[in-house]
Amino acid sequence: MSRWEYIARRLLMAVVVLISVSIITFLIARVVPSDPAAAWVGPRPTQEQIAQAARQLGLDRPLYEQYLRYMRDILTGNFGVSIRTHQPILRDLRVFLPATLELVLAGMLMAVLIGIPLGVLSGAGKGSLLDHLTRLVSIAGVSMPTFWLGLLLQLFFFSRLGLLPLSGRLSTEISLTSPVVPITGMYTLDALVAGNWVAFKDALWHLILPAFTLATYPIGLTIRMTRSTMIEVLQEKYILAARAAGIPERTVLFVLALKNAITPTLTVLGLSFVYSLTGAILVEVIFAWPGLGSYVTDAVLSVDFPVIVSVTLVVTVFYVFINLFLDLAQAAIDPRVTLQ
Amino acid sequence: MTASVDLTGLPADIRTSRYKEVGLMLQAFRRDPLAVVSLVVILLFVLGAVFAPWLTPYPDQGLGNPNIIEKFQPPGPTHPLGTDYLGRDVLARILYGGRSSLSIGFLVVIIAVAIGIPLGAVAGYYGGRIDNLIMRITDVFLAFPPLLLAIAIAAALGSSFINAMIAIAFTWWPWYARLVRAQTLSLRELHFVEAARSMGVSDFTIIVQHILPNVMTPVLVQATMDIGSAILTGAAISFVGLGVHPPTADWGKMISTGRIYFIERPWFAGSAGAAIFLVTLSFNLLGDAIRDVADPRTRRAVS
Repeated sequence: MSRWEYIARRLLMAVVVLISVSIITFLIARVVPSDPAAAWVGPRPTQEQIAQAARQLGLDRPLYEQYLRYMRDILTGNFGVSIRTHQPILRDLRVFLPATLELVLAGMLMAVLIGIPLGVLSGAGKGSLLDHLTRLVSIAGVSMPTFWLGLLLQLFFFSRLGLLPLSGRLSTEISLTSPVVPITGMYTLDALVAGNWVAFKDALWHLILPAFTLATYPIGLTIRMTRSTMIEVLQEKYILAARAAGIPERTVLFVLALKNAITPTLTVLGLSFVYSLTGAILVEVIFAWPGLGSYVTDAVLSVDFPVIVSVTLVVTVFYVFINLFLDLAQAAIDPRVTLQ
Repeated sequence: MTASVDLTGLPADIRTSRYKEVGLMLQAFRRDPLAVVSLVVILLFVLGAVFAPWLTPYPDQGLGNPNIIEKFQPPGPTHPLGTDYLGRDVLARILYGGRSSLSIGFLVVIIAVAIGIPLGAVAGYYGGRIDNLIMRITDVFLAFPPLLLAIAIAAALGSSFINAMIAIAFTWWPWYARLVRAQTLSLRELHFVEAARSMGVSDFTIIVQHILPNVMTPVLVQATMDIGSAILTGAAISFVGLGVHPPTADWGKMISTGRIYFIERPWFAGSAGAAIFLVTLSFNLLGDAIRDVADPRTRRAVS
């Protein structure tokens, strides 16, 4: 298979997947709940009200027609209206999505900065004390209920040490004295761009705990993957040759070996990114972080289906695109992928 | 949670022995003492959940009866883990909570295996169009973020233990379908399958008698590693407000109700979190140890 053929097939697959995803979310939204019209009207509706709501929502139409209408709405950015707040969902998404992305990106940054070096070192020193320690840390990281870890970190860093804020994105005083003007919606970035140092520091301080909580699972995965590929790569002859040529060990590990060990790690990081998008749901609840996660859990509690389904759809589209990007990036880095 | 295991390179004695799963377990235990500790922890929690009514002096509180007079008691001699916001003994709640939290982990994996094995075996054995269809369906399910899909399905079905379980299993089976398909693909080409086919044995019999027994080991290894994640996901589902209804005890729910008191009175949400962490950690360590002996690639890396 040529590289272009691979890319074309992969793109086609993504389109098929996206269409199927839209069908499944449609089914979850319109078909599975026993009576969406009744849910729309609210508690104790009359029969006429339900019938009227069903007509309004197009529920009396054939299923395929409902689906096409749903697709048209989604593609034109009309995600409907929240049952709970009666606000357009698209407007809510615009506010909440950047908050979640900020959290996820910060967590990913931590995973890269902590996970890869630890993985390289423990792979290089297989069987060393550091190796055993990182193995323990990484396996603990993937076994930890994030919401529990979040609570423990709050207890320690806020309550005991008083170092970091408990929850939220910005202190109330700061948001009054030097408010962040939203550009991207990511406070740290926006404050940085505007040169608003006070708000930047405050936003960053608020970001550390939730981002780290979210990063534990990715850090664990990254360490484990980097470690095991490093062990394989370090057995290659070119590494032996490089060491024999007197190239410094640091260069051997972090440049020569890592370059060939990084592809599986990149895949894991991609997976971690998409994992974090949903892991953020739990972290956001603990840290009162006003993102998609808090939005969707509020929606779950009030059975607000349009919101649940819209968030699912948006995050899944992200998920599909990241996976697509990863596959294509991998094909670019390692042409052998296209041969499968 | 999804690392797959390839057993095609295993020595014949392990692959064909009737008791290979037991053999793998024993090997794992001999090599890794941590695996023994993990198994003991898991057994303790399982036994604790099963025999909860006889292990605690407060079985009524474990079942959910409030005891307001004693609320927010810190851990002490009468209540080793303290009491919660309704005065219930936390240890009793943990023991009873294990019933829903542990069984959701086991049941999710069992359902996922039950769906994944037939689909994967059929796809791998017949190949062609059926294979394509089944694999594209798994692709679609894998395209969803699992936790979010589970939340959406559980919310759509309505909050209950059974629905939470179905919702999670729904996001889990594609991994088993893929695993079984990959194994079946390589088994299909082996001589004993070809021989059976040439003797006119039916496809069904070949799949059931010749393919599936050889697929079970990787599936069991994967299942052991997955139970921990399934318990974690179950806890997450009930943490966001789906799953069992109060007053039924559940570890995820204990954290979600206890978190608002956590800074002042960390013991009840904290104990529930510690229970989830310990059990999940044990399953992961156990799964790791078994995979190390089952997977020839890591086995080389270990020895």
